[in-house]
Amino acid sequence: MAKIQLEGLHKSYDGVKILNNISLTVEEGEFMALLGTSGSGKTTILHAIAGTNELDDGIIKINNQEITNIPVNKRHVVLVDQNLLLFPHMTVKANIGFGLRMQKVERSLIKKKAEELIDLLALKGHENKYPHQLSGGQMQRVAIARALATEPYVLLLDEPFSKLDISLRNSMQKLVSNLQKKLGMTTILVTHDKDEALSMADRVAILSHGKIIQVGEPYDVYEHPKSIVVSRYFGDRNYFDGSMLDGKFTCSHGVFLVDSSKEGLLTMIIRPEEITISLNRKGVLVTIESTFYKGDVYTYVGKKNNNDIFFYGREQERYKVGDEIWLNIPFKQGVLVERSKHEKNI
Amino acid sequence: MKLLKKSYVYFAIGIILFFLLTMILWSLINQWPWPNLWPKQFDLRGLKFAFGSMKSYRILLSSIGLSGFVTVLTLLICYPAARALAFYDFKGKKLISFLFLLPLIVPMITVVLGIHINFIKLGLANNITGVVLVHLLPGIPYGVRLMETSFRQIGQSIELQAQVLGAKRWQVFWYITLPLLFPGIIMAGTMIYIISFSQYFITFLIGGGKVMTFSLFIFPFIESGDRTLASALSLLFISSIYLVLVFSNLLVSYYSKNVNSN
Repeated sequence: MAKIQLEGLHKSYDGVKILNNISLTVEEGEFMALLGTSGSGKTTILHAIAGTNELDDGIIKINNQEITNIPVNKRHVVLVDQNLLLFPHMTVKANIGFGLRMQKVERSLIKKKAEELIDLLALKGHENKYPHQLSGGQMQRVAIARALATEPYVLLLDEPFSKLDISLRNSMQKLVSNLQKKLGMTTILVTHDKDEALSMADRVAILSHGKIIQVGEPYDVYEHPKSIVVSRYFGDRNYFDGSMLDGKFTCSHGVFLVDSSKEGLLTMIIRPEEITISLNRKGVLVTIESTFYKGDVYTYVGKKNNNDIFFYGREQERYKVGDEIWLNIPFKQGVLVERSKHEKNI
Repeated sequence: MKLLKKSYVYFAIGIILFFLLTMILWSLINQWPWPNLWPKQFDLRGLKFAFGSMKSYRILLSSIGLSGFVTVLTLLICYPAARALAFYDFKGKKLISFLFLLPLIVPMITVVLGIHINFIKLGLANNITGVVLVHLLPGIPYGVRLMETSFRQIGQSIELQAQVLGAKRWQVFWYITLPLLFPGIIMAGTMIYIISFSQYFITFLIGGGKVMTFSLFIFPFIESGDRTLASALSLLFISSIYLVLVFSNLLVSYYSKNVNSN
């Protein structure tokens, strides 16, 4: 268990900046998720911490001690790769015990530790099997057991569940989440799956183009994104361009009183689940352009002045494409962010 | 399609068997004058000479020793080259990769004639050191290519994973790289061995007849037309190579069964 600090990490490949001044502190026992699209630099951060790639600049500290120049095998940081990388020529037991064996730990202790982890990760009966004889979920658990066996300061997970089918993924997420809490192990998870990040982590750091653009608790980053880029990670949302002056937000749908002291040209973000369908013909009139059935809700896309508005509906209020309905859009509760330079919104 | 495939296989086996059986037949003959369709007289002279005399075994053993040594040396040379070609990017990689194939493209005779002059100057002609050095050449393309493919199959990330788990460099090599590369090494080694074992001309030229290998031993009999002795010795030659193949197959299957279980 350890506290981990990243200070001003920089890394370029072929002139392209992969990491641009990354600074982040993960507290002892904390579960941090790095959320970002592919190419955002999240995996590079993990490899920098593990020592499997070199940084151009920056300092990494574990428990206030710099580890930037410590070789990979002495960092006590274990990475679980998305490809798992189990040793194909070793049994489950040998795989789990590998790290301890390399440290020349006594055989009886290795055996004890391996048995403990085999129990903990429900691998009983598979100890003597080879990786190719295991199912996807079992291989996953072996990879995690192997990582935990060395009792690392920090556990790094690089999209470990991305190759599992959805039900297995959910159960593995729960397992790892519980295990992390039980062992109190400082953990950094890299993922592009927002649900995974939100449900598992204590805090989420959102990355874009090699920069951390927001760090916060899951609720915070979901409900109060600081920019449109962050907001877009969390699915279809509505973005209204407008301007703020004296606590009033003016957009193409009218002027609204808002509890904010911000001023200037801004964008208001309103999540689809905040919009309700108005039965008393008040609010904003839209024409339904398309509908998507998602099991728990219907997602509608309404058209207004050639712009899309996303909202949800329950089954008893089913609407068809072409229907005109009124929507209550709670402009007073929206989140105000800087306007994006690249895109125009409603 | 299946029938066609099968008939190809039978055709290939047929051709091999035809020549092998002819050789076996020749090794058992005393006289087979033209135009007889079947040999006139059989005897065991050839087999006795090849399989029953100490001389042929002695030469066979020294030849096995030479080729075995050459194989180990070639593998040691090819290992870092194959690893570099599989894992690292560097300037001129394509050119170097191509250069490794040159011994296959440029006829050995032309190269070795040039080498010979220099070996004389360096005092490497007419002795075993020179022969070992020149035997390294034809095996290198196979060694590099076969091991490079094995390295690519293993990938570098599994070595990194071992390091992340706390393994030192030699431990990574010993516990991960070597066992995973083992089948590839055996495959490459077998190939290199057979190539070295079969060299005639370069051994003759550089060794100056002073370094005796089995190929060199057989050649005069073929040249002088004593087909019986030549065939009998060739049988011994083939048997020894066959044993090497069996041994290497055994090693690989032993590996996948036992070394695996650690």
